[in-house]
Amino acid sequence: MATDPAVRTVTLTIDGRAVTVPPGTTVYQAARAAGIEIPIFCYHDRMPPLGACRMCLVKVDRMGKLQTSCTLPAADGMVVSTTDPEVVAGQEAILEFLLINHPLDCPICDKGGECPLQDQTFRWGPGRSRFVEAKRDFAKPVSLGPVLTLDRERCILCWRCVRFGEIIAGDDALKGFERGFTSEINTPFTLPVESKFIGNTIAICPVGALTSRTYRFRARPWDNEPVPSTCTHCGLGCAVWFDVRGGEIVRTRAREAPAVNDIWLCDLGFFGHDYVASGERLTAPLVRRDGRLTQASWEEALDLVASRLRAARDRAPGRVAFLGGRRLSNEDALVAARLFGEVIGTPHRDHRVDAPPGGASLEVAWGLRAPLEEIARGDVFLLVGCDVTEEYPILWLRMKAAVDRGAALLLLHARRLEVRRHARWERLVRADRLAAETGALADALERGAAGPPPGLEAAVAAIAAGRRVHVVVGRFALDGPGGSAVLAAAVRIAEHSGGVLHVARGKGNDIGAQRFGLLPGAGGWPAPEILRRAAAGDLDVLYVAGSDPATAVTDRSAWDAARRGVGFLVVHEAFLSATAEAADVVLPSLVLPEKDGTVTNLEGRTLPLRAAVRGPGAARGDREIFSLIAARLGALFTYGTGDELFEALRAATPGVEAGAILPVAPVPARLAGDVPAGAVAAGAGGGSAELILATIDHLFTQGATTGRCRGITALAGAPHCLIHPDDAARLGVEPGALVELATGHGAVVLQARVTDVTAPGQVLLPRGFDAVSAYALVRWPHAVVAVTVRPLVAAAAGGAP
Amino acid sequence: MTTFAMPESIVLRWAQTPGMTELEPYRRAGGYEAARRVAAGELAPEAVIEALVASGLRGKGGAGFPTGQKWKFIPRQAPVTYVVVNGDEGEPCTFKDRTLLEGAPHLLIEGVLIAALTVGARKAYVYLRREFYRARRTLEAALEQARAAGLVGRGVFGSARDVEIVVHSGAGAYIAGEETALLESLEGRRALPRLRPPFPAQAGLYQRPTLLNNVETLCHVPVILTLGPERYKDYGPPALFSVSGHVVRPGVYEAPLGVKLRSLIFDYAGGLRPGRRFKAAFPGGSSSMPLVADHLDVPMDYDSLRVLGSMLGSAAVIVIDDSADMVEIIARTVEFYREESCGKCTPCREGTIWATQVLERILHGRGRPEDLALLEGIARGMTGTCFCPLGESVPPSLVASLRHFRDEYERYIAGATRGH
Amino acid sequence: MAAVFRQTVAMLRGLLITGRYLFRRRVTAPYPDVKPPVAARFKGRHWLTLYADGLERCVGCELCVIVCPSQAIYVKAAENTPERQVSKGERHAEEFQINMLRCIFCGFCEEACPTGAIVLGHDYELAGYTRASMIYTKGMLTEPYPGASGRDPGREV
Repeated sequence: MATDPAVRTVTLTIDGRAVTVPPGTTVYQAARAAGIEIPIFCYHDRMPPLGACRMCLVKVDRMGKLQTSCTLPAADGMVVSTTDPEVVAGQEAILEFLLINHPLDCPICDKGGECPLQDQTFRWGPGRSRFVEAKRDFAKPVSLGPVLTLDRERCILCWRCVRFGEIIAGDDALKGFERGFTSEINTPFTLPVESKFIGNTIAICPVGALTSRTYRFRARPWDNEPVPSTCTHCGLGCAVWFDVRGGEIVRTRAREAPAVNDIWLCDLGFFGHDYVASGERLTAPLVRRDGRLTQASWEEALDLVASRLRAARDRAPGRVAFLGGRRLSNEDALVAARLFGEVIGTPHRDHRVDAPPGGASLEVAWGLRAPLEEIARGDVFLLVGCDVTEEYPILWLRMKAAVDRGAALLLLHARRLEVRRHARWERLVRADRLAAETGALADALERGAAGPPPGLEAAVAAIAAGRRVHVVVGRFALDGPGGSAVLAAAVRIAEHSGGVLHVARGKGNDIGAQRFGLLPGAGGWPAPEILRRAAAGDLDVLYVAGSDPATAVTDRSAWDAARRGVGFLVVHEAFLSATAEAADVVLPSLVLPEKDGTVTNLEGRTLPLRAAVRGPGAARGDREIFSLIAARLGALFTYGTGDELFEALRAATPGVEAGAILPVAPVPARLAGDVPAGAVAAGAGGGSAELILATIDHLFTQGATTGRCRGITALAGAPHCLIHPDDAARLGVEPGALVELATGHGAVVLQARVTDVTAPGQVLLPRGFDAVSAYALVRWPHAVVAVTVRPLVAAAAGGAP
Repeated sequence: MTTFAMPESIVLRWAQTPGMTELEPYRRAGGYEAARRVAAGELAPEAVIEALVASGLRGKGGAGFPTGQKWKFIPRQAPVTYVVVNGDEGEPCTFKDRTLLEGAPHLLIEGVLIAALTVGARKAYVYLRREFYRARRTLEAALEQARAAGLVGRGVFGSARDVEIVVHSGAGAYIAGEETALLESLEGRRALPRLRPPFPAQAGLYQRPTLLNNVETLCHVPVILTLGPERYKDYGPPALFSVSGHVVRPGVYEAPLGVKLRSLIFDYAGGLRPGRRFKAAFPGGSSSMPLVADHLDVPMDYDSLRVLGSMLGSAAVIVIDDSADMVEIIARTVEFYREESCGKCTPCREGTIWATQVLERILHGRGRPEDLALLEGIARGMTGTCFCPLGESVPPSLVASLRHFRDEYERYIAGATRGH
Repeated sequence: MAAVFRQTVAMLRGLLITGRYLFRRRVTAPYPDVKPPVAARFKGRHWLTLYADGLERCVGCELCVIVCPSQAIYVKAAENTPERQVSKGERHAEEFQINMLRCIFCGFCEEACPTGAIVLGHDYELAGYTRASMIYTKGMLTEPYPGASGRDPGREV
């Protein structure tokens, strides 16, 4: 829709009312703008019109046939009627046609009560049926994977879900099959659906054809109390509704937020709420007595923690350290920072628990350097070591919209990305070559006319021609071998192209933790150093909240040593995580959907949290726990209401406003510079010493929270590693076979997926599967980790992925 | 039967002359001369289009859009344009395109060359119906000859112009004969009709300006350029009628537009079988509203038929005598559209299945008196609401049969069984 | 004297009325020994009815929940499995509770029910000693055998 005021407008008459709209507006949009309701099924305002359902018929003067208002551009002087008897008859006819093969099993349909077909039949339908024949008959329900259920009988073939996959997500997850009255929506071969966004098709389905497996029959719409809040999984902070029934979140829906997620959500957001209601939540404080964690009262636990903190502070404030922040709200982070910074006085605070020493993650502030809306207007996207759909799915939807308008997508990674078919250029390199390749690209750009080296031409040409270049550096690049070199090269590329460099790093509320004081103070140690000092006996108390270092620290042994070396470990946890199991005191805390407050997303935008449900048992909010400890240490934090706390946030960090972006710190122009990719670290000998190990991100994992969400656990599948077919053939690894991955430091056994998604010469291991952790195989400081692969048993029949 | 001298044919004769599938006989008979003149610049594109406009040639695929007008719509400055030939002759009982393809492939190739050279296309696609195996072999063999002779491909007729012609077979869908569905299918997707506007002339194949013409239409083009529009018009202008059904000599006949239906049946096609009486005829394929005995003297041209609520369509005349059961014929016709509905829009997808269910029930003796009003209601619900002409093809014949042959329906409902 | 006579007449007049009623039909019922009959459409205690084959009629649609003016009903639905087919189709009520203290016996739930699962029977002797005992659970509400509630188990809806 043109918005240039210089462009003339068109004025048409709808139901006797003059409506003035910009040219290019459809009659449907004009009517809606004027508050005149026209029924629709196939039209969806985030997609171009299709004109398939024929529901939006209107009568236009001097046009013989009824017209579909969703496809008809408004023209000057047009006289439109939405209530003409001919229109009414047409709409009744269409609804009658739609209903003849619709099962009318509304009482047992999850859509019943919030169903456009129901509502429109009620309002525009004929009110009776002349249909006496047999209805279309399909086997139902069909399960299309762990989260999606298909009922083909209910489908009215509006094609919204198919077009969502084509136009919005670009993954073509659902397609149309057969034709005519046997037409059906399905996945190819009715295989489990392959998508990160399939929950949206459930949301936009105008009938109950696509329903959620996890929400199935759990509530009717009138049972639910919707609570507006913010999703805290990936860190983009999508706006959500938590639908609560009987004190339990039964469903998550997208809440419209044009600046962030528009009306979309990824499947982690849609299906990642079960953990809140898990029966394994901690409900009472635990204190280690005689080597065992036993239940204690809050008084007892808090007194113990306060006395140990006081003792440590009195010895030296620097003998206390704080780790974590990802799962804390902004307010929690602020209060934690005050407790440890002001009351105890230690500078050793860090939320970057999962950053390895020497990695580029410790060199720059995390976060995007432009709003998502500006990214959507970009014309070149260079993703370096960032698997956008696995890490920040909603960011991809922004990029997809731009790519459809002609933007160039350039991919540089050690794995082929799901979105590669939308890419103009793709470079698949072994993990240890990422720095060199990024450097080569920067060199080629700076050399300009000299002619880029073979293979880089398309990327160089696209970046050189780009006017709004976005370079996104992901965790894989920052924390991988030569991360600093990748970052330095990316800075050069962004500078040369006048583009923006984004550090796509941080999950949950990492950015809020970074902003509100959970970074090392003056003379403070970063997280890896805290662990090293803890192991060396330099710490008396290690305090962990909003993190699970036992599974997040990328060297398991570093954590274990730290735990052994520190006298007293305090953990805020919702579950008896690996960290909690090793703690001296475990304080049961609320999870983010149970908290009021705010979080900060990757853009630096402050977003609201609203407690959807109460916590289990005696669990308390982190902020409250910090305040109680502070009080025992003689400091009274008097934050009454949430508003007062938000005022404190604004006072602490000028520029923080609800819903607004406060940009994260800029990337320094000069970085540590080129760090040569390290030599292959000592690995076990053997036939495949030339294989290196790299960890990659998956959206669906089996961690402490995701492992307690039914849909997500199932979507994640079994723990596995990715091996290139050439390597697999050489090593005798059958697809789907169990293999043992071994380094000099440890070994894990898991399933091998043989696929050319990975570059040859490496084994990719998804992180986030707590049962099989890559971090048991790694020893800091590492640059490149050599790994040996030993097949254990042949693939089980049909076990191929 | 009166003696009747069939007029001389100017288009169909190419397909009826033996040997015209070969390049040399075709050229000796004057073929490719028009294309050569266009390639050599002797005939400017404007002149070609002027000739087409003057000839009054209208699209032979069904819609009857003036061809010259269509060619004018193709933007001349566009960097890439395509010519696409609609050879998906799926309309029931239409077989004129197949006759031309199998008998006179070079006539089509010449027409395509003229079209491509006129609108500035370097590539043309001939989209053939899947079932046209023989036509495809014939056309590809002819293309090989033309390519070897330098008439197709790089530098046609020694000029600097390139015209590549690609033959493509569909996957077997009636809807692919609809021009935008054909483009979708040609691009490799499901044959579903596209939203218009934009029209193919603005954004057709791969979103480029595309000239889409029917096989027969393009076969008329060299004839018009050879004879000149005035002499061409003296022949009627001519049209190819596929006459089938209950006639003695079914086949393709070239007759002047406006020929009487009676003449087509009784003069050209040899009349009805002995002892039979005329009952009805579809004048333009099963999509057109059937005519009855009162209409035998209607001129078979675009406007006269439109006035009656029918259409010339693809000029496929299906003749039905009094031995036929009209309810069965209509049921079979609607069943055809049910099978061929693409499923994109609601009224066509659901209306065709519902109507066939009701008709089947009536045929099986389970009809109810209210079913006739129901059928009319279904037809009314489909009229003017469908996305493309496929769905809109169903109501006219259904309604006409209910008007003219209501007694046959009522007999079934009263308890008669199939075949009385 | 006259006064005595007047008073005696008045007393006898009163006794006459009593005496007349002595021979009329009784209108009171000796409840609980004799239970008075109720009208055919009397709305009393609810039953969850069964089909003749023993499958539950209730599909857990919660239309009774939304129509109930006193919010007396709680339903939690679950999916039928091939191993455990509770009702016809895909869905059944895993929990079904009616709070009889809240119920006003309006019968809207019976009207709203799309499968005729819930019927209000003729039993009106609903009393209990605790509040908890007045929350009728699915086990208490389901008729013990098809037709026990008086509803024809062969009826479609």
